[in-house]
Amino acid sequence: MNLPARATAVDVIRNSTGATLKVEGDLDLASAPLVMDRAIPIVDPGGGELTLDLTGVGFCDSSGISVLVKLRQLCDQRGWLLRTVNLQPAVWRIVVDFGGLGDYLNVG
Amino acid sequence: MIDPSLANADERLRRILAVTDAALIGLNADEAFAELLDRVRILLGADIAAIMLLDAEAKQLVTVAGIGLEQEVRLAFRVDVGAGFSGRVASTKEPVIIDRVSDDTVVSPILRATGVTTLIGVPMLAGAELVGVLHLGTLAPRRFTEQDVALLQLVADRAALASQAQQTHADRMAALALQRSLLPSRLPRVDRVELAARYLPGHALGVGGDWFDVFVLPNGCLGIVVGDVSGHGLRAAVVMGRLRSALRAYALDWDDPAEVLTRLDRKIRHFEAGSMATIVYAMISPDRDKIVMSSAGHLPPVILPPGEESRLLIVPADLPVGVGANVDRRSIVVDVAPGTSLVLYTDGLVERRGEVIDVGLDRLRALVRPGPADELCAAIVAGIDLRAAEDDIALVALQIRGD
Repeated sequence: MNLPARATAVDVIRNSTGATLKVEGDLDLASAPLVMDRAIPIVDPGGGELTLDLTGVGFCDSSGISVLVKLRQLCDQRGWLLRTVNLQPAVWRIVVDFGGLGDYLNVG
Repeated sequence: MIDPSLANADERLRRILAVTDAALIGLNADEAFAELLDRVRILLGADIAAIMLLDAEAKQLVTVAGIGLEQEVRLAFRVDVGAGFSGRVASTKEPVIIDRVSDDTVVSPILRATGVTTLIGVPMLAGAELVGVLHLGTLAPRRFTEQDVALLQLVADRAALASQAQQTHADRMAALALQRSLLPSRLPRVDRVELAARYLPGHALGVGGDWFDVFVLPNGCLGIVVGDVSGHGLRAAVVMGRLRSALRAYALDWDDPAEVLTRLDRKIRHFEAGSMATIVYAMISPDRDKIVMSSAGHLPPVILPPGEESRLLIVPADLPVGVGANVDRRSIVVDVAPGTSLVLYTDGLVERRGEVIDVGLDRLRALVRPGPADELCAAIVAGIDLRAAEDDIALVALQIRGD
């Protein structure tokens, strides 16, 4: 059954070493620009640690993967370290097992 | 005496209706822009008004419609996002008001030459994405109220919608034409291999960056490629065309698929920076007894050896191309016998919301049965619920013949 996508939400939690981006909902074409929009102001040129918490993400398609890659590229440009945590099994399959992005996204 | 608050409410309603009435619906983007600019200029008593659209590739705004600024339109005047007045509206995605214009607040010499004093600009947004900027100016100094800003934003939203609708249509037509010209209409006749393929455009987005390719190399090897450029529309189709072409060029020089994908990766990172694609590239030996394959983050092909069950042909997943890291890419070698079937595909075939991918992969495996390649393609397409597919689907099936 094709479930209609609910709107995705992105929470920003700043901490002493950088910030955590907590995503709730699908990572897809519709939500990708929102994730980038929330990340760009946080990842300032000073450097830091960006933790991407995907506990609430049940679905990630090629657009979702694309935005994960873009986040890593943004971090590289600005001297930040990206960590991606709490992947649900469905997302792990796509991103790590078949996508080969486990190391690149520092999946833990 | 008329109650002033009532008059205000009526006035607000009148203004809102003036920019959202049914007459606007039938217009194309250019006509809608002209109509909206005219109405809002009158309603807000402005002397100049203009719409600039975002060229996302160039990160610039281009003037496409204007009143009192026709020369900017004729010259397709451009300003960098972030530069000057409109550029600031675009980069902040917030309204900007300049009470008194000066040389460093306004980049456009044409705009300055109008003698405009007060400028107000609002972003044209479709959801969270910037589509362009709408701005008004007055020759005499002027205070714009909150209600004026709200009205202008309403107009900008309406203009953004009109623009999106038109752009989508134009892009879709162009991308379709490009794709048709690039995807092989007829597969090559190949010694001892039967081939079939399908390309099914996605429903939601129209055309995108999926492709398949089949070619015979001078040494007799058969190359099979399936790829998926991220993104959709014309840009993805253009990048897809370049990748397809470059891969063929590297395949002429390099016998190892991992080497070919490595070179392709370097090429896309340099010349198509910002683009990304997953690819699986398989080479079948001239004697048709071996398959060498490398995967750049792509889903595994399905293989059906004669007399066995269909299974996933697990290729170690290296990074997609265009990601931006140096990768040691790996190939696997598989011995194959006559009668073996192989299916390569893009994720649109198996990926569904609310499901782990393995469900779709199992569904596909169950459909792969011995038989002619074209019947295999037909069975797969018939057996997959296409209504649930949001993405493009590219599919190639082959069978190694015994004769």
